[in-house]
Amino acid sequence: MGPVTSPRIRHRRACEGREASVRQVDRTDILAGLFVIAFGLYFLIGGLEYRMGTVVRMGPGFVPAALGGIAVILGLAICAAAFRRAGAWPRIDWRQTLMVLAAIPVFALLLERTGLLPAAFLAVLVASAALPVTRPLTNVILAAAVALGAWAVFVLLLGMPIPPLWFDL
Amino acid sequence: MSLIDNIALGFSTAISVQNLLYCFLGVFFGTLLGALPGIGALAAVSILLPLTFGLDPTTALVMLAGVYYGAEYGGSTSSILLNLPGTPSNAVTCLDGYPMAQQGRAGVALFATTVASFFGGSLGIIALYTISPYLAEAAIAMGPADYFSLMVAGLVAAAAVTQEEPLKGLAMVVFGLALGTVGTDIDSGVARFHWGMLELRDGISFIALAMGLFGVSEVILSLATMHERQVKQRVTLRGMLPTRSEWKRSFKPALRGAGIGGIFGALPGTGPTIGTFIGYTLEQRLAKDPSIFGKGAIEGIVSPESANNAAVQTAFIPTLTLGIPGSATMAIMLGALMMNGVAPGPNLINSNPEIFWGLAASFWIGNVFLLVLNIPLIGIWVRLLQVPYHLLYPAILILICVGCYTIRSNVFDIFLVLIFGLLGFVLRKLRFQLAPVLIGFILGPMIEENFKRAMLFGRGDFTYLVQQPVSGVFLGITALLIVWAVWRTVRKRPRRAAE
Repeated sequence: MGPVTSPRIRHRRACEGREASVRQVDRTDILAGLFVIAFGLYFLIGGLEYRMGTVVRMGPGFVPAALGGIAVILGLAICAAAFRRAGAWPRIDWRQTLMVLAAIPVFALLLERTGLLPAAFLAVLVASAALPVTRPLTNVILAAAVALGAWAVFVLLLGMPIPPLWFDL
Repeated sequence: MSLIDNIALGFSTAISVQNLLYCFLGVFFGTLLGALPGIGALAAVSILLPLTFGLDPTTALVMLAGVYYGAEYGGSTSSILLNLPGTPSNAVTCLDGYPMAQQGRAGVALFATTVASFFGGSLGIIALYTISPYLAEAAIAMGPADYFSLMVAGLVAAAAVTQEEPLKGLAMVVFGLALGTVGTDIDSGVARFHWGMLELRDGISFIALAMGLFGVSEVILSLATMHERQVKQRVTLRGMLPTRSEWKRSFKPALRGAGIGGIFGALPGTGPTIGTFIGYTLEQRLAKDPSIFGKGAIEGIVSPESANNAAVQTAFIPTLTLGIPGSATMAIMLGALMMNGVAPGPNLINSNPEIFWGLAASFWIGNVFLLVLNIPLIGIWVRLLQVPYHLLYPAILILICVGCYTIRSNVFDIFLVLIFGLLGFVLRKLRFQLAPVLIGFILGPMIEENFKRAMLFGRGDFTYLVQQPVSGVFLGITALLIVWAVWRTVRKRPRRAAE
């Protein structure tokens, strides 16, 4: 969202510029290129294990292997281009990332064991921990409200067959 | 059938109670999610996609389309009041909208952007009405080779044209295509890349892919930017009317914005955002006194808002007439059609006229709903922006999880959302664009099918693709785009390093 945040981006570019004098590599792009090579190899090698067929009658392995090959070439090109400019490692806020992601398996694992209400309640508590917990009571109320809201919308309103509590079955 | 008959058919479809209701729900939730900064139109459409499951295809599309253009309307609200764009295509609106709000004229800005949105949207719908039937007729004459090349050209354009780093855009298209090969091969019945899991034999769930890539990763990334924000403005209905000179100054920018937006909306790979930037720059060039821009010029908000809403409507032209989505949001629309058993392509208008004309008619109705939602009821959205984000994101997350579970009543799909959410987050941190992944995923099977048929016609001769005149032209365009992408990559790097 370019123009709005431009002063911050300019500042970041300036920082990257200073690092550039040390080493001319864009680390983010190296990782990006490696990622592309990795999935390319996966589909290339995986595709070769299936029957390839001929061009007129292509087997199941033809398209994935071809796509994998193209990806490996693109990945190499991305890596090569990364050596011509500077750039830092990507910055990650681990707490926010992990807590938001962790809420999903919590919900998934509990849903068919305890029912919708406890699953949604606990998942919201986990997700709220992504930000520093300063108001525990607010989070509990929020969790209860979201759980009841999800139940009202999906079970009562839309009639989805989700058990609200496991012993309700 | 004449155009009038078709329009009548469209309105008779669109004003059924069910379609009216879902049209309203669509624009309502679209405005709501669009107004929230951090949740763009794409995430809004992905999050609400499961709610349309089980509806008939027309109603499903009416609702999803409503979410899309509703989000573009709502997005300008947070641009003006918070200086945070609600969707990427509202970013330009911040430049002059926020200064207007600081001068105490937020009401005027909100009114002007809504009217401009309605104006641009209306012109976009007229373009949809007039161009689509001809384009579909021309497309019916195309053979599999032509179709294959057109889709490849569309994909490469989507990957390479607007992306800052075209090579990475191309890599993401290939990634999307490769993800599309997971599951059972139609011709041989062999299950590919299923990791021993029964669920993956049917292929990757398109809804889980969209919700993970766009919904979950957006929630994580917007947490970082959403900490502090406050609406200081009070918006009253009386304070919303622009002066007479502002009306006069707005007309031409709105017209030009709609034209630019309409063209870029219909082209694959460009979409609404680029139209808003070009529209804004053009107004700046044409203005007698360019120095007023950035300080609350009404031209600077009218043009981009008219442009993005025109673009949203014209984006449906290639999607519905050719079956080729120009953007990830359009790819979701196509996915929703296919889930309902409707084959997209040039035959859609003839074989399912009620879908095309009904959808087009619902655009008019939805735009009128939005006019009401955004002018008399603007207070609701302003108050909504005062709800802190830390209360909203857990609810959005649960909505995503429950929504994708309800499709097949299978917990496996929730874990897929987790995997694609993580993947989407990693890819964004590596500065990849995610839209090409979804476009590639949707187009992949169609490209494969047309390629196989073309090879059958051409008896395995690759030059057959070039010998067909239409196909040859599209492949030529593709080659030019790739050369241009590589050239841009090679040329840009040293200069940037030298900065």
